[in-house]
Amino acid sequence: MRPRSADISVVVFASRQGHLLHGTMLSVERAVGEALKGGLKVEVLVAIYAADRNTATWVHERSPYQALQAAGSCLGTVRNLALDETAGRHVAFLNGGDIWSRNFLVEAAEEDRRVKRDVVWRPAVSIGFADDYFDASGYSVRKIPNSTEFDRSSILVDNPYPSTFLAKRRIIQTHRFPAEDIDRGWTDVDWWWNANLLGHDVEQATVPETIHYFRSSLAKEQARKRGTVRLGPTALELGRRRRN
Amino acid sequence: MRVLLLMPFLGIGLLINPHVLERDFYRSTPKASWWRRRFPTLEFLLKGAWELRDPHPAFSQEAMMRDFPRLRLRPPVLNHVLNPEAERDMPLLTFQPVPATGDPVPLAARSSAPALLQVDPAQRQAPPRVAGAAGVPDAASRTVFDDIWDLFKDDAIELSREVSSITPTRHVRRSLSARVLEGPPTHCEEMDVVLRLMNRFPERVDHLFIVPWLGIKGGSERLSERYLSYLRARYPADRLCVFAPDAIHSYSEGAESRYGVSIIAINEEMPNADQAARLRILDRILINLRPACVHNAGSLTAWLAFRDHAAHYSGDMKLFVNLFSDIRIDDSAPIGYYHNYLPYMIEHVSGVLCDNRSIIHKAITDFGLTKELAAKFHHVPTPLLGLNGGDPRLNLRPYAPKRRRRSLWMSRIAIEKRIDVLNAIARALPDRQISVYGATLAVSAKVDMAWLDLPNIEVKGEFERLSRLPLTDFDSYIFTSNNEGMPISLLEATMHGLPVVAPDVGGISEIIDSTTGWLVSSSDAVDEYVDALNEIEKYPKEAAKRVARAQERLVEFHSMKTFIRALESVPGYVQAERQ
Repeated sequence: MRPRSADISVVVFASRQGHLLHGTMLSVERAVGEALKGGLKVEVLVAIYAADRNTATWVHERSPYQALQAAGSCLGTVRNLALDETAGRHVAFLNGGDIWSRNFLVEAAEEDRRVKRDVVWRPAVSIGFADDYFDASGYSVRKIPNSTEFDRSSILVDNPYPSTFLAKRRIIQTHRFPAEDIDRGWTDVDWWWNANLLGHDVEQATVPETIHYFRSSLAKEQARKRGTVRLGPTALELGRRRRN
Repeated sequence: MRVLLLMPFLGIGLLINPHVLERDFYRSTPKASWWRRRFPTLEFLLKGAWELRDPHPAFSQEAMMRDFPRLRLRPPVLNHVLNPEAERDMPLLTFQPVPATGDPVPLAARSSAPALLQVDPAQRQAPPRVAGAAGVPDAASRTVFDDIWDLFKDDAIELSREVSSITPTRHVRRSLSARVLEGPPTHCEEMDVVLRLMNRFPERVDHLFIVPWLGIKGGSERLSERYLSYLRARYPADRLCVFAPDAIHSYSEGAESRYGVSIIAINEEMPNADQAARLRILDRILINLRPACVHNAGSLTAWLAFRDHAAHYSGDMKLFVNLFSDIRIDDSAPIGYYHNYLPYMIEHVSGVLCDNRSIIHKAITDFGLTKELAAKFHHVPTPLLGLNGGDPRLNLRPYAPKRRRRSLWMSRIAIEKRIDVLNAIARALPDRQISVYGATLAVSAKVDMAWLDLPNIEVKGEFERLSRLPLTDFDSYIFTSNNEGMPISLLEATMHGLPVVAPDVGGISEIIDSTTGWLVSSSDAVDEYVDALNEIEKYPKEAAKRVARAQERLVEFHSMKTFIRALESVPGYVQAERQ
């Protein structure tokens, strides 16, 4: 790991988004711009994993940022790897294809500075959008809850949090992402990680007036409905007792 | 009068916001009159606006009335020019796409990769905020979605060239407002149940035995007892657990001491759970508990879980199921686990335990299984003799009827047990008295007992123990079911020295044939039943011989020793390495 010269390390995870990364990176750039204007030092890393040719080529040709080429296709492992490769006191993750509102980074960092607790910061709203402008079914709005606003056991039914966040590095280092387990159907590492955070009483809170945009994927939703994508075992479920 | 009052305001509004009326567009609307073409602004002010004509290609007055019914001023364009903020949707005034000229990509070429990004703050705009008080309706009339929309509109417009789907148009607003997703429930009883159940399980469970019910009389429960008796001797007390996920489950107090293992049931925590909830609860229990071995002894919920997720479970646990018969009802409709579940999970289970060989042969043939899959089937006959380790022959009773022309019918009362056939037999043999013993289970379809309307049939109903029945009062046992595996009641009748008359269904022919009893061709072969019963009455010595031969088969196949030997040969059933 490099010396900690940055306040925030932004990591964009790119796999098969191709040139759709363009919108993502523009949103990162304007959010980083706001953070710089606020006096923060920001580093940006693009983590490429299981990438198709278009995505790898796009990152190579169009992205000015440092790139991390990760072997393997496990998102959880790549998230941990990217964390180890960054140096900021805070880390912010964003999936390729997703978009931040202009103010997310600066407002999240400000909230974290103001609140003295260890908190994983989320955008206040997550907006789903379709690839096809006319496909009304692809649009959705979800107000993201603070982790104190709902019964923790309900996360076993669904994941209320988007994949993006900003948090102190030490939180992520303590609670690292689980590895995908395709054989067992435990492939949603973010959901699993969120459940683990709740199980370990790590607070998750929203940053007012910030937005996360994500591309709706019908296939992903259908897979979850069919039950083929499921949450793996969590500390929460272990009834506060450690097993194995 | 109203038009005259409002017209000056519209005029002022058009002066302030002249671009609301695109004159060229308005002039060229179909059937435009001479003075609309000549004086479009005046015509719109005096007439067009009030007839809801559109002033701009991106502004539909009718659509606005439809989408924003709370706008009070009519025509809608009046709102637009006087109080545009109130519309909450202003593509005409606020949509300012990024200029199309030049390269819109501000990302630098990847010549050098700076660790710290340098961005000129002067080029950046202020972060979006929710609109302040000015020009905004009072807070009470605003909704959460209004706030979200304001945020979205201000923020997304910048990227609407690169990501066109997030252009804040009326279509997007409608689409978003139509799908405002609920947050997580403030309370989730179902998953609370999971946590409570998890806390009740021992720290480590090596063998999870899943039952449909305990406490309901029937062959299935007796079979569960025998399995548990075997397993108790092979696991430390807290490594073996019984789980009952089905709604039907209930058992009397003291069951735990009777079975000698921990019994945990969803019904104890959430008796009103529907089937889907039970499936989710069981799934989460299995994911977290991950026992080395899971044996489904007939639970519907477990069959469902195995069908959907056996592939996922099989990496952590060995899965076993019991299979008895292939049931079809009415017009041969295939029901039950054999048809609807087994074919879709057989690849991922470690073993299928069958109480008769017929069903094994049938499954291998019907489903065209490979040798590898066929090897997963194991014949594990239900033990009946020598349950406490004693000589199995001590349980046998010789054929010694005290009374003639009296038959026993003993089985669970269900539609497939064909009491209509029994009635027909009784009608054909009016001198023969038939006693009917058996319980009706809640899981079974209701049977109209009024079918048994003959004086020589006596319905005795449920019985507590087989040994309490006056078995020596009967000279024969009649079995009339049309769907069976290996019926325990038939084996018990044989054990108690009764000659059996039974149809050739399921695995019955493995114990009953022309040397060990009277096997009739089908469950509705009434004449064959009648002939057999007459033969038993006429030749009691032959009946005694056949009973003795049938009992030899019982000793061979249905003793506890045979049961243990069969289970010991099932790979992985007992996780010896984890003891």
